[in-house]
Amino acid sequence: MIEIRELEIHAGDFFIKDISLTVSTGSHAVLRGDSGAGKTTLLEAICGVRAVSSGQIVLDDRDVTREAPEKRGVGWVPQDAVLVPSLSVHENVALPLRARGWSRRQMDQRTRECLACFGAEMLADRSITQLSGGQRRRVALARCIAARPKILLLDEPLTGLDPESRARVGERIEDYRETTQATILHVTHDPTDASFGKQSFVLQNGKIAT
Amino acid sequence: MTLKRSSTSFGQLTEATVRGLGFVLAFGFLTFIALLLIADVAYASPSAIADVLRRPEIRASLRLTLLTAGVSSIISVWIAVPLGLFLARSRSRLRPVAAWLVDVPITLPPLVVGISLLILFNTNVLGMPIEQMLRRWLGVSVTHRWPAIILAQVCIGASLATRTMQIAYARVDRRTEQVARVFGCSRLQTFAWVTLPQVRLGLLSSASLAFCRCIGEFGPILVFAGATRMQTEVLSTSVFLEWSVGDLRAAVAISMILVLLSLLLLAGLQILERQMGVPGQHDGPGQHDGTGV
Amino acid sequence: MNQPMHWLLASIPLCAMLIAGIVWTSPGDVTGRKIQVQDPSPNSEASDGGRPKSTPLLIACAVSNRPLMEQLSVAFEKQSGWSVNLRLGPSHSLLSDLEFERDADLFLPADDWYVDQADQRGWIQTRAAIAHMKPVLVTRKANIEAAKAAVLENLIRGNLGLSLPSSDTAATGRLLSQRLRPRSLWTSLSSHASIKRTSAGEVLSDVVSGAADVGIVLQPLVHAANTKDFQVVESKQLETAGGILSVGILTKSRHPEIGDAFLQFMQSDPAAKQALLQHGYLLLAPETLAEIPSRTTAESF
Repeated sequence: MIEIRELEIHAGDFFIKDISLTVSTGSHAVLRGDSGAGKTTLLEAICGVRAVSSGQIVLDDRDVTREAPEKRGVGWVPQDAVLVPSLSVHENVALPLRARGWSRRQMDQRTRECLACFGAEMLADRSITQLSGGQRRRVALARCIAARPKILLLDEPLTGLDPESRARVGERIEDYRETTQATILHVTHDPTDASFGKQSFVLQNGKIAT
Repeated sequence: MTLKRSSTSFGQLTEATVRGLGFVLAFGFLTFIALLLIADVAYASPSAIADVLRRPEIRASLRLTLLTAGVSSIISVWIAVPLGLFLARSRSRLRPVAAWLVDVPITLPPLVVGISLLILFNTNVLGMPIEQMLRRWLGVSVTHRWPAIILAQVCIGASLATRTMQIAYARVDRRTEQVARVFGCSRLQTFAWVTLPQVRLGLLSSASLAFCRCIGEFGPILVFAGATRMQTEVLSTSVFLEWSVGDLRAAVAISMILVLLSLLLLAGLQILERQMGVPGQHDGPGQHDGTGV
Repeated sequence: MNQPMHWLLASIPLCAMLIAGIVWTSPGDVTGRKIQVQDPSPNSEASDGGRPKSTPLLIACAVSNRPLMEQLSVAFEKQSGWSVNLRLGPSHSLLSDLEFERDADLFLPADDWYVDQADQRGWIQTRAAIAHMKPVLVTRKANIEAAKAAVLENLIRGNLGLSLPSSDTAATGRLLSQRLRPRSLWTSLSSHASIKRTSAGEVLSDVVSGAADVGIVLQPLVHAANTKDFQVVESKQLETAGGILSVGILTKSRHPEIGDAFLQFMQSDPAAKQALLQHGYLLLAPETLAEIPSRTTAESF
């Protein structure tokens, strides 16, 4: 479950205020809004990489507002599907597992599994600089689910994919949600993606409108 | 109409002049530097270099130069890794002060650095000069000994290395670090696995820059470490000692050894950079997402 | 994956190895002092290798005396078993060094005057004059001007590039400014000089490199250098402006008795005398050779 209570974030001149929303456990919620509305900022705040001025963030009944990002245990596909350029695709996907102290064998197996899930197994040995935008999304998604998180925060995960792959990758995300009962908050500016979610929020002028 | 045309040709003329001037300045400078080296080579034949290398004190000096510069450049990089990070990332009010302090050794006249070191180590702290304290409690003498060479070298080497590392850190996309944190890496793991690998070229160039600067270090070493034959004589002091007795040929020959050392280092660095510059071994970037699920 | 971290870690043992290398190869290293302080019995450290005595005799020596002193130290080591280290530098900077760190045993500057200075500050326990040095002209190659230059006044009139040691920082310059007669000669020479140098060695380098046509230096200096590059011209006028090579035993010397032995060796050993002559020094008359106790010690005892 993702619960946001009266969240207020200031980032320079930009701010969002009074955000409250609840995504129930095991559901897939879509957060829409014009560019610049603060969708990405909100996701970053939930991840813990953006400071919060006031309010609360509760993940699966745990108040994580003041916790370090690594303690929150969320999966994240950041905007532009940021990958670490000094690591290979395989190493990028394995990073969450490595941080959790997995053995090399388990790590390799799980990494292959996740890459295969999003149809990116042949990219494993590539360097990040050799990937197209769509390929980056697939790798970022694979990394996102590698450590089997219960909370997924997806920032435009389907951008750069052709319509056919979009549907397939979307299906895989749904499969993951169904098997693990994960809660998904999915940010998009594309109205067609709204079909994924049971729940839908719109962020407008720094406020939530359902 | 005529006005317009003449202004165009005037513009073209100006552009040609500016480009010509730029060309002359840039290549004039390169030619000048090349001429300096050529003059040295012409003055000191290879046999002169072989001659000075046959002298035991010059061999000792070469050995000491390489050893101390090696130690100093390593220490400089150790200092530069955290300090460069602080300068690149901190929003603390101490940052400008730190940035200023880092530049002090580079901007001060080298002689002043040496004299300051000499004075510092002979200043009374708790009723005893630091030099004596070190001697009594640690059994280490600094002034006029090889540790003085390393201190003098680190002073300037670490400054340069820190500035290089700062630039390298500034180029790292901070979002990659944020991603690592969100995926469970601690601050230290993030630094070791994500940040540091992205600044490896910076590490290399700061180490080599510090090394080059250290083998050329002269003023502070002469003042703080003296020039004791076989003990604290490094190549740059050897050049000075030869020049002081009017043996210009030997001085130039030793200088050529210094030039060769830095050329070798630069060449080695370029090879390493080329090897590491492009990570990955596969062909060009994929244009389309043709993977299909 | 995390190569750079491995490099950083690997650099720790590498650095230790390099330091060990320095300690191993430098004869009188920092640890020598430790043994001195804690354990007066000499000689147990490894770095000393096959050296005869634990801490060598350290002489703060003017660069201009280097060739002579290198020869003498080898001879002395052969005779006494004591190794000698030379700390080289311009006399004035050696003198400033003594201000902070009187860890040397002997002080042998380019000229007597610096020993006077050290003596006045109470840093010298015993001193002795060793030899006499006279200034000479050095010019580029043999030419008519060189011959003319033997008369100093010609240097002022001609349009020769003249390089002179500075009277503030160079021993030779100071000697010339004090002893050259008539006094006005030095004034006009120095106003005519195209460059003033901090040491006589630099003057010689100017002549060798062609940056100057004529220079004035002390004779021992030209013996050290490769004389193919320049010509030496002696001048009667310059002979009055000669200097004295003196050596002082420093008050903080750790081996004053060995210092004394070295001093005796320089003064009276036939091999030393020969070396002095060979390097362009002139021997003093026997009566001036007596060892002079320093002013301060003479007063206080």
